[in-house]
Amino acid sequence: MENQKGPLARFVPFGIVVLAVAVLPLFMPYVVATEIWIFALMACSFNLLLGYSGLLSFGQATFMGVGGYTAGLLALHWGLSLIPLFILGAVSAGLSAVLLGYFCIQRRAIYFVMLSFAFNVMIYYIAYQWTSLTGGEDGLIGLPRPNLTIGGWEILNLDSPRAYYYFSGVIFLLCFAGLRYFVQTPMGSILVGVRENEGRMNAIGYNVRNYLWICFIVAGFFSGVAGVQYALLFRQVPLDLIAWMTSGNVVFMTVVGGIGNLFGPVLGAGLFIWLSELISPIWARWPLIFGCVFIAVIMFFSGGLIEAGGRLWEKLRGTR
Amino acid sequence: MAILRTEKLIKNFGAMTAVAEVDLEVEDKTLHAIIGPNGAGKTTLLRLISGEMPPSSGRILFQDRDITARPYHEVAHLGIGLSFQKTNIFPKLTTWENVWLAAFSVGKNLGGFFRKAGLLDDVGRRVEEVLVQVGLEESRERRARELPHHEQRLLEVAIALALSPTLILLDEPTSGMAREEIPRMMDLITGLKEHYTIIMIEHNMDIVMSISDLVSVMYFGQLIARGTPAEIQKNPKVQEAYLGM
Repeated sequence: MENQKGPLARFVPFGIVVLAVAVLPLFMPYVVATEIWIFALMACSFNLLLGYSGLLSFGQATFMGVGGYTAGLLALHWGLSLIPLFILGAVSAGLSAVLLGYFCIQRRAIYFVMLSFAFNVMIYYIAYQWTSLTGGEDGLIGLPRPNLTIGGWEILNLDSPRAYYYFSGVIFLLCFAGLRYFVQTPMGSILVGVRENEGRMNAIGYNVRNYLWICFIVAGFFSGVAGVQYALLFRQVPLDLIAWMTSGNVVFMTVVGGIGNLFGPVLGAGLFIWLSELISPIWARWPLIFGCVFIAVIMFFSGGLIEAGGRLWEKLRGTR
Repeated sequence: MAILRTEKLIKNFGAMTAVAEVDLEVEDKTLHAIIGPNGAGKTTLLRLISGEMPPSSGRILFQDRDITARPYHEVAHLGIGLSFQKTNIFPKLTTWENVWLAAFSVGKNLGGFFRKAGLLDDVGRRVEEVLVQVGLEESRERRARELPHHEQRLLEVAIALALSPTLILLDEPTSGMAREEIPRMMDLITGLKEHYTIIMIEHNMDIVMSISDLVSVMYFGQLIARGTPAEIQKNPKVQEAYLGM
């Protein structure tokens, strides 16, 4: 909201993310790299709630799951093409956020956490029990991955992991840019105001509940996009996608990366997925590493790895 | 002409009556002070007028409109700005951002939500006007928590002013300020008198008697006197109940 930063400060961080999308597959398999951007999107949408609004949602997997299951069911039974799958998956997640968010934002602090968690568990058990629709414990398997077509014209064949990686990377960048724009509009400033002093925001004329509700819905929508991407990446929707463990992992990713902006969650998601996918085959106890990183961050860098990197950079430049 | 009237306004907290059948009339473009000992119900009365809490009974009329029990966030849009007794700012945000949030609240339109916040020139201009008005333009980039106490008090008023209100509610604006800092706040309030209607709660009698047009006295939730500062000083009921003479 304040005086605008210079063009360099505005575009360099985004440029780094674009570059990372371009080169990440040089360092790891396409599938792992794709998963990183999927969870990066998920963590960024979650960070709208935690970092900007101060709401710790322990149920963000609900919306990833709703998006994934919606796309999975539509692809499996209706054979919908790619763009409608994304739109309907994200919209269904957004609509579920309209409903669940209405109840969650009535409360704050631990009560908000518990409500979001309770809804997540509830939706998880619905998915678990409703075997005829969701596949129950097995989830939805054998999903087709449609190619990118527009008006009947095939634009991009997504069969190969490489093609799907770059397609997912572009989807991530579009969503990331959208989220970034969102937090730079007055909505972002209002959410920060609510986080800092909710009572005063009410006093100066903001209907705080409505703004938090909108934030909840936007976060749900983008989590839904991540859910669709995930379903199409693995051509299945595992029950775990909607489990509270996934919600918890997203909290870890975001906090480790840093909640001050949208770049922290990207970094946190990258580290988490990289450790889980690449270290786990070598050393099954990899969560120990992540646990240590998490503790170190909480103890010494409350701003996450982004803050740690910033401090290191300042030291290297000799400004401190 | 009265811009604000309360009619038989009552606020009970359980068995305790904090505000008891208060009939207050505030004239347009006047500074109306409300005084009384601690616990007299002054702050509760302001909280009722600002919509922070609903009254138990009675009515509040602002510009002849019944605003009783209007949602808190709506009252600011009716033209009532509140400055709190206990500094209630956004500590981690800059001075500029603190004022911006208030200015955008009343100046917002749907289109504004789709533009980057820093590009909303009309809101930015209003923020600059207010910062100059309260004398905080040099502190615009500083975080609110880093401001000295008296500047935080000025910021508190600036936030209320940025709402472009018709009526400003000042709850102990000089609260916690050092003696040498008070004249700056007094000058500000005196300047505001020309353009706004002000209801001010204040314990510092020198301030009340020197800048108020009218004074109302509360005692155990009731309004026991109303008059000019000179009349209030001579009022035997006030001397007995409030000044303990």
